[in-house]
Amino acid sequence: MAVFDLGRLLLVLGEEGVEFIIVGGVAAALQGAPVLTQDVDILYRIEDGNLERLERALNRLNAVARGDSRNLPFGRSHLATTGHKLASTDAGPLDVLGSINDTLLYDDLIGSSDELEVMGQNTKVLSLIRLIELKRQLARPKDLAMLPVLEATLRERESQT
Amino acid sequence: MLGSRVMVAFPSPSVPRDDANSAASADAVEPDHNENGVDLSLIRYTLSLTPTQRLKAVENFLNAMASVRSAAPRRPASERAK
Repeated sequence: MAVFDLGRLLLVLGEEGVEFIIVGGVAAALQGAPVLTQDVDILYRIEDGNLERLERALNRLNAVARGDSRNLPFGRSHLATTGHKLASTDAGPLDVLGSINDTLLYDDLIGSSDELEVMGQNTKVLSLIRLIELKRQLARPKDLAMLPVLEATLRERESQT
Repeated sequence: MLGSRVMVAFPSPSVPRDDANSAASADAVEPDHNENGVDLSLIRYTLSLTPTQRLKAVENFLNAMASVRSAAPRRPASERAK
């Protein structure tokens, strides 16, 4: 079995009807930027029904807290918080984010996402413009390092249209 | 001068062009790198892929790296600290 099966991660989340937006490095890659990343970051909607669907999806993926030898699964009350939950799953590392920077929630960013067809299913992916704005705001060294590539990708994409 | 005709020659896609001239004109129009050193040819390539193909490219790279890591002999801790 492959160590990383990003398609299966997205498939299971989609099959369970989880409301989420792909953010981070995979969002950049899906938007056409030649970047590599080590995990999938998703921002999910904090709402009772969605938490139930997310918990079900994570159980199907055998998700446990990454770096914790107790292999603890994620409970509903934990998922209801806005923090970052770093998971190891059967299909690779998955970062499950209740918010970005403790301020931006799913509802704040859903309007800045594009719907792309990935592995045969429509998937919400953060727009390249919003991704660049967020990277500028976060301004951590790793965010700033990625900015020239994202900005060049945006310019190239605009020049092609 | 009124009434005169000006002929402007545009390269026709059906007419093969000299390779050196083609490369030179391509460079002039589409540089390979921008002012920050970003490889634009790579960006053009990834933009030519579908989102699914882009995801597969990331996945293939990660799996290749995982294979390399698992195949590499593990060094003793005393050497890793150096």
